[in-house]
Amino acid sequence: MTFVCGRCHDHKYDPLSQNEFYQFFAFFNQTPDKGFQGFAPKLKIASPLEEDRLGALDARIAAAKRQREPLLAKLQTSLAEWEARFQSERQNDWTVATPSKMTSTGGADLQIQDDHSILAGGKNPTTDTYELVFSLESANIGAIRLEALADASLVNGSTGRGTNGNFVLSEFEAAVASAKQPDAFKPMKIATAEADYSQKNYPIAAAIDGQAGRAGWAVDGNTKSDSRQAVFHLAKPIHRKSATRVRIKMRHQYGLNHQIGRFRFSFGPPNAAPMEILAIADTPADKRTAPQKERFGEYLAARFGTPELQQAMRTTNRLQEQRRVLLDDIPATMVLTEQSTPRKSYVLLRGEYDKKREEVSPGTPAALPPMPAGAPRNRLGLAQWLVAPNHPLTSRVTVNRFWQRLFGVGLVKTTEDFGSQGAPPSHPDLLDWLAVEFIESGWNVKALQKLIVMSAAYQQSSSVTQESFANDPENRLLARGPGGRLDAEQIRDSALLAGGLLQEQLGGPSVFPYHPQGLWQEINNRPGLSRVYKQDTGAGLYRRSLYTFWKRTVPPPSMATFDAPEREFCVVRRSRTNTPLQALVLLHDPQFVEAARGLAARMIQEGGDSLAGRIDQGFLICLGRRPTNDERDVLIKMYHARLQRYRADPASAKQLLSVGDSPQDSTIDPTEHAAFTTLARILLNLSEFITKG
Amino acid sequence: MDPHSVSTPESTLAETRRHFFQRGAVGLGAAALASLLHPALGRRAAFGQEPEGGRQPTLAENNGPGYGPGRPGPSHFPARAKRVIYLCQSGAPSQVDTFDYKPTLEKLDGQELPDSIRQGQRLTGMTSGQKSFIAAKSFSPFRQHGQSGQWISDLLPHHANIADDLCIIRTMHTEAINHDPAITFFQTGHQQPGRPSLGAWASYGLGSVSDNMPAFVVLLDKNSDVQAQPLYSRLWGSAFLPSAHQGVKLRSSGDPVLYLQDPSGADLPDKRALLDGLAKLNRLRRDDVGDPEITTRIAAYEMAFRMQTSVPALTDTSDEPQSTFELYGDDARIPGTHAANCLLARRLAERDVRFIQIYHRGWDHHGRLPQRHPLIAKEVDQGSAALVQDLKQRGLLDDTLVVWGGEFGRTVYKQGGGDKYGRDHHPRCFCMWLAGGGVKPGESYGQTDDWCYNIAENGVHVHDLNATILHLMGMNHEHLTYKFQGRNYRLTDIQGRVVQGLLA
Repeated sequence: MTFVCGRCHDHKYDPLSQNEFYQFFAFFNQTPDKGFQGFAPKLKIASPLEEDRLGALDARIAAAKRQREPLLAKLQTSLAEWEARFQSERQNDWTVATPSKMTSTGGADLQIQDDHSILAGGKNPTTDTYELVFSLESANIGAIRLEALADASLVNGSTGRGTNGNFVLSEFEAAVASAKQPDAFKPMKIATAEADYSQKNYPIAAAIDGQAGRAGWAVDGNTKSDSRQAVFHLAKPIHRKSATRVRIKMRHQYGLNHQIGRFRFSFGPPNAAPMEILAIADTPADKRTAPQKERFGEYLAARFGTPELQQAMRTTNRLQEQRRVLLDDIPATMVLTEQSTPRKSYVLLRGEYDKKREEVSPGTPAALPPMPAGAPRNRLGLAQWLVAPNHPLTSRVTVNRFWQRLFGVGLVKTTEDFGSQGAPPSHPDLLDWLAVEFIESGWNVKALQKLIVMSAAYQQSSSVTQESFANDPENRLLARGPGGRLDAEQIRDSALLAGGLLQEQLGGPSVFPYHPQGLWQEINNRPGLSRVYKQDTGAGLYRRSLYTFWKRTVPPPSMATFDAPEREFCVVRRSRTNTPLQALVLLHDPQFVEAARGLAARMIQEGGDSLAGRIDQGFLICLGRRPTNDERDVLIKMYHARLQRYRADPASAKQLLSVGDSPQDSTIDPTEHAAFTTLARILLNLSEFITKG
Repeated sequence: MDPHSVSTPESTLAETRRHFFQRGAVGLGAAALASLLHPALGRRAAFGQEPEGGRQPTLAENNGPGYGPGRPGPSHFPARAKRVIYLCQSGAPSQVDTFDYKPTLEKLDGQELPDSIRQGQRLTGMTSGQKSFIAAKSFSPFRQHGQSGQWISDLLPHHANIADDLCIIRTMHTEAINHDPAITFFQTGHQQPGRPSLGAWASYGLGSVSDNMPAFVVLLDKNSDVQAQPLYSRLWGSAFLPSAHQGVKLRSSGDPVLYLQDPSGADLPDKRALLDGLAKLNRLRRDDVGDPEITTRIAAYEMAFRMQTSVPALTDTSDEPQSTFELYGDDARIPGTHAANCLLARRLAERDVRFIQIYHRGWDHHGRLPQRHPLIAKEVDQGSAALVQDLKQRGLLDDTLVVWGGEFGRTVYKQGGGDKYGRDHHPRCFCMWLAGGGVKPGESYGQTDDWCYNIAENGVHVHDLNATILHLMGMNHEHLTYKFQGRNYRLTDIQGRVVQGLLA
């Protein structure tokens, strides 16, 4: 049933009142919704592969720790001495540096101050990139420190040039060159970055994420005017005895003049203490917590211990770093949480958000069975109610959707509406039986699908006589097997499979298959927003369509043409049209032309030496049957004509075979391959290929 | 089989009606519903019996009137407009500086907008923090033009030539105050995504009369303003209507229609050979299994083949005489300009395309409006005006409705100050114009107050405009429905009235 009428008034047909709508709504009206302020909480769940890798790393870390144990045991005696050394050396860790060259792409005036800091003045462009070059006599650099300093000349007496005193450092980049080739800068990878303060949603990590967009490091400069600092640790320290040039780029792409106003750079050695260690070192020894003591001890051992101990510490650190990187790579998914203090829900007059009427608490519609005894009045309780065995809808609605997936039409045709405005079921007993089977199997989806596809009804032929079609055009009485056009995703996947291109890899981030050029840019050319479609190369072109990246304002066009929903709202039943634009996709989308080339190669390689055998093989691959004699004759004639055509004009054969990124099979004669590719294109365009049954 | 027929085999409207009445009379009653909802009544009885005398529902029941592209259906009443060309000015032009002439603002210029006029109205976050709201008169002088004496600002000089053809609505109003919901509201009748677009409704309701072009074509002007609002394909999407009704983009670079050209560079005889082979196999299969969808698909491939010649012939304007380019301006030779797209719109109208939608972006001037508005006005003025003149010369304006306007208006008060001020979004009154297709020519409809802030009389809501557009196309907006998720949906939802005062 559809509940949404209740937003404004009682349901006109089904027994659902407006009050009940808002009671139901109250289950969900408990999220700490922050909108633009980011989403929380997020949950990281490792895939089985990632779990294996984590387990292996944990084992190696444990082994490394066991190895260093005896070495660390001796630590206690040296600890006091090492700490004293550290406290005296730490002052000298950092060397303040002044650049030999400074430029601002936006035309700001950068001036070196007495304290070696740099103050930006003069022109204040919307966005700006500072480029600084430091000429050093030698280099032993493991970290670069950036101090953002408060200055009276800046708004708010703060650190940024923004109209509110704030800044956003979109990206920090460093590169190194030798004196011999002073302009051959090689980028230095930043492994980690830390800051003594970061504004919410503007972490320092955003300044080293490889993207110079609106995201970056900010410091609440509009409300807080303190000086701040950030330290960037290099992935590979540089050690050079000769003259060295270091180039730093500070990209500010947020806009609204959010540049750093005054700043200073220092270089530190590879073992420069991270801020965390400095904070521990500044805490009196008797106030340090046990983990702090341990962390500090490890640091001191790595810095001052025997070469053997230093080596052991480096090994564990490296492994722990790998573990951290692996954990970072696991994508986080947004999950829903309940507010700690429940939010009140009200009936809203005609659905207007500011017209609150009586207060309601979470509850389910009275026309349906009550919530199970003891079920909490929250989303958990709601879930328990939905799958309670006496719930009349959940199981029936679910099995009906699987039936629709397999047969094209549900037993209840209005899959989305089981209310009084929905269609009655064609086979009520069957629906009930399947629903109960489903519940009793423990809601086992795989078993349900197996049950349906192994049925006699499903396994019938889908051939239809004119009389039978006239009697029951939609096959609601199941006198024949399921038919109907495949979905957009299935069509593309089938073509990839037939062409031997399909990459069966599971999971992972979205991919960017073939896409007409310029499609995104046509409707959006604002800087800072995603404008350019970056087409994949290699495997990303050939993954199943479910992995295709989906931009809702510009859905992938070949899928939209085949009735894939726009994904801006929920759809449980797709339309299934039959249009000229679909013909154009199957004929001309490079994906399908390339698949035809692959299919042609398979026909030649898997179909034996005879032309007929190869044509039969194409039919078997695409349609799961052999051709009739008439069908075979059509393609044999076609083949000879095409072969003659391509022999006369080998260039056009070559052009046909060049469509698509996958390598051409050089063992096949190009004219023969092209002629078979034309046959393969016909097979992939057949109504039967994109139709079930 | 009608070779133009490329839609799914759906029943006709008549069948749907018959069905509806059958179901209405004997449909699933309250008793059946109660049993459906109360499992205590037993599993066997839980799902109601077949309605007596009813038969299995057909596709038409859910897909509505069954005329897709290629199958024109009857309209509700005779149409005044056989086709619509909609020139969408995305970003929202300022009514104060274009079409709503306000001599009163000469005196009120520079004055603070009184609370009695603003009436505590909700403002966008861009000016809600402003301490004062200073009214600014039009930066461009107004003059009267034509026999009708319509007031049009100098910002749009070419519009002076069509003053007597325009029906200017001064009292449009909308519910949304930001671009995305506002333009979505205009184009789909709902602020949130998920409803079919106006053009999709027209295609669904009336079908296509062209045998080599889709019923609904979309043209995007190239965008010069980097701050222009993005567009979204939902604006010409079909949402829950069959996707055959979605707008087909005619692009100014690359393939004019996506996937129109063969990437292997095959020539027409090559394609013909391929399609002939394909059709033979498809026919053999159809004769074997009897699936009528195959016949439809064969026809679809034939239309696809025709499009491969008809679309390039459409977009190649080299057959136009010099006088065309004098009328539309030299811009019309540069693909993707407003003038070029207006010329294409006329060529599409000649080819009987039902609904042509052009989008021009870049009107959203929150700062430096007096400096930036003229740039965008110059981009659209001549093309828009030339289109109306051209249609008229060719006798097409009588049955072609041209619609021009943005998603809301702009405030009479300044955003920011000085002479580099902008104007913020203003939903309470703004202008659009209609021309041809059964609307009153040389008419200015509705009155705003002295401040150009509120409607004084004869307001026209977005739903009213859409109801009127459908009316002119021969459709009753209350009867053009599609059942989705248990409810009959309309473009105008539960509102809208045909504005009789606009009709000729």
